[in-house]
Amino acid sequence: MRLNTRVTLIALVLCLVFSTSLAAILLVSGFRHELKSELDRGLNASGMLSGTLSAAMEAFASLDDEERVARAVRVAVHYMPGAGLVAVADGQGALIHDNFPLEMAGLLSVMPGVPGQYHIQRFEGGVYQLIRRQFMVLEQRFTLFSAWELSQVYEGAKAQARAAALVIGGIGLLLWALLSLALRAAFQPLRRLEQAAMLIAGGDYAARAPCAPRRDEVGQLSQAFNHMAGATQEHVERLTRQDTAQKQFIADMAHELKTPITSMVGYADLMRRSKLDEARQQQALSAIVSQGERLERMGAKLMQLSRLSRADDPIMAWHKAKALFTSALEALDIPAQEKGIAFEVTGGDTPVYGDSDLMITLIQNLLSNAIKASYPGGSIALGACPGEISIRDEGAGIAPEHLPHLTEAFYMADKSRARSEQGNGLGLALASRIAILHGASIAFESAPGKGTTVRVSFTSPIHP
Amino acid sequence: MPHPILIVEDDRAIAELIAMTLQVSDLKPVMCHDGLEAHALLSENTYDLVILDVMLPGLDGFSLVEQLAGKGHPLPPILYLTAKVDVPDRVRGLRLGAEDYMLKPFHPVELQARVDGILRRHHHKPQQYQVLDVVLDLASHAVTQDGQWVDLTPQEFSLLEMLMRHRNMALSREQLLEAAWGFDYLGGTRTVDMHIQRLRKKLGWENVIKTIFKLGYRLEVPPCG
Repeated sequence: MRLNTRVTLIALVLCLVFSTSLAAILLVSGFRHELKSELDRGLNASGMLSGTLSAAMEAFASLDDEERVARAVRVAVHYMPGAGLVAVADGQGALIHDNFPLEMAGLLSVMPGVPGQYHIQRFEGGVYQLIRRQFMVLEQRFTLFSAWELSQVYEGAKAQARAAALVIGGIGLLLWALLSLALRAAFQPLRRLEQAAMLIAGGDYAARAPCAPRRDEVGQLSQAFNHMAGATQEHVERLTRQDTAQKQFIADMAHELKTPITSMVGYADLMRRSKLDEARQQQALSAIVSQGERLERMGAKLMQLSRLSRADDPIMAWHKAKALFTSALEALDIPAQEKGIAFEVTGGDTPVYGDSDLMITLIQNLLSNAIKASYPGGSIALGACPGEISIRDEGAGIAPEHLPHLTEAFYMADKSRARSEQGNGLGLALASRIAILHGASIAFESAPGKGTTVRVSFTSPIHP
Repeated sequence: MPHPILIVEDDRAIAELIAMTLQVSDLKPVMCHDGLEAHALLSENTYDLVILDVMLPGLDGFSLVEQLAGKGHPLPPILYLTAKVDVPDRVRGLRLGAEDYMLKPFHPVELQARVDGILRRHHHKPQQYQVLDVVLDLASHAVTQDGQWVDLTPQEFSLLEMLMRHRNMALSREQLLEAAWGFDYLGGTRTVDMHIQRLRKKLGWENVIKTIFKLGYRLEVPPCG
């Protein structure tokens, strides 16, 4: 059963029980009062009737008992129109005369047995007060039986009860209607909340409960729910992005692995199957070795990347920029001398805060890119100032459409050139991870033909 | 006079591998490493076959073919070489008149077979193989040595055809078994050895069909020209 139905029912039942008992108490006490006064009136009237009878029978003393009783009754009834049914008996209770119609004669057999008593009797659809009295006429004892109609009291009470029931029923209906409307309105946000929850459960993480501007519990619940839905959506989206990136990374890696493996297996198979002359054998072997080295470099970079992903705590310390630059130049995995490139260092005394191994790897990767981009005989400027390291080359530059993707793993602006220069698209991904680990960001400024400047900006303290 | 075969592949190691494989079959390869260069070469020269990588710097393989076909330029048969496995790409390639498809990574034997098949279909080569004084005619299913009829069983004929197609390239017993008997043959690879022995005896080729240790057999022919 829904909560609003339940609340409506409970309220309705409480209200009905309360109003019904109130009405019952009022009706019963009113009925009692009415009945009491009616009974008193009957008693009074029967007293007066007995007086009248006694006087009339005295006046008709000359007649025999039966005749004078009949006359006295007629006279008394004539003068007291309220007295309807009257019977007179002698002192022993033997009936002398009665004016009970035939169908009411049955009442005579249920009259009270003791003089001065009365009782209430239901008979033939009516209710009667039956009274027995004694009266004296000239020393002679008579008994008076009289029946007084009470039906109007009962009918009245019944009519009142019916009216009360109608009123209570009406109130109940009205109450039900009002409660239903009010509760429906009160529970409406909950239903919306439920719908939103179902939508979210079905995968629509953007679904929200319409936020009622109410400051009650339901309004607060809606707000809390939406807050939760927002957090969930954000979380799911982040996971989805990570998952997509991960899948892309694996797909790219598979593709990048396929090419060197194709040539290695191909050359080896060709050597095994055919008789190559010495020059070609050398060529095939060199190809196998260089493709193997390519895989080796890729493996090394991937290892570094995965080690960084596990985010071991870097050993942070202050280093002179010049020391880092020198170590990075020594660690270069591509020959810079062959191209005859000159290196200029500025701001070498600037302190840089970071993990020395990681910083050297970062600078080395940026440097190796700069060397690849440079023309023979060009120069590369390594600069440091507080909070920033920069590397500027005068090389080929990068087209704007490639700039946003440079730090994606396996992204190569010019694949065939990158390969011939022993690139694998992992260097900048690695550099970017290292920068993130140091709370730094990498920015590229470049245009085709204008050379490239890479800036690593630190947000950590800039002075020891 | 046969024309050279153009190899368009940006990865130099793979381009050279293809060239080397073709040289084993006495074919003349020409290499180029980007799409625009390939466009220029195809516009000016005639080739018997183009081995075309799809992902190319400058101009991708499909666009290259579309552009040349758009100009009504007669194109040589094309063997696409690609790492892509997507069906839509293959369909696009075949619509553009691809003769065949080869996915990376590929094996030299497979490349040799496909190239041989394409060249044969396009009548750049007669429907027969000739090695030394032996001629195997595919159309009449007959083998002659020095003009004399040689009586071979169907399996021996298939083995000889396979060896001649892949001359100078060693074939494994499994490859030979599959070529001569089909996939579902249940006999062991010893069957191959027995038939090769008989073939050697019939042709007097004890020194031409070489046994390659741990691998199989190779039909060795000194390079002509």
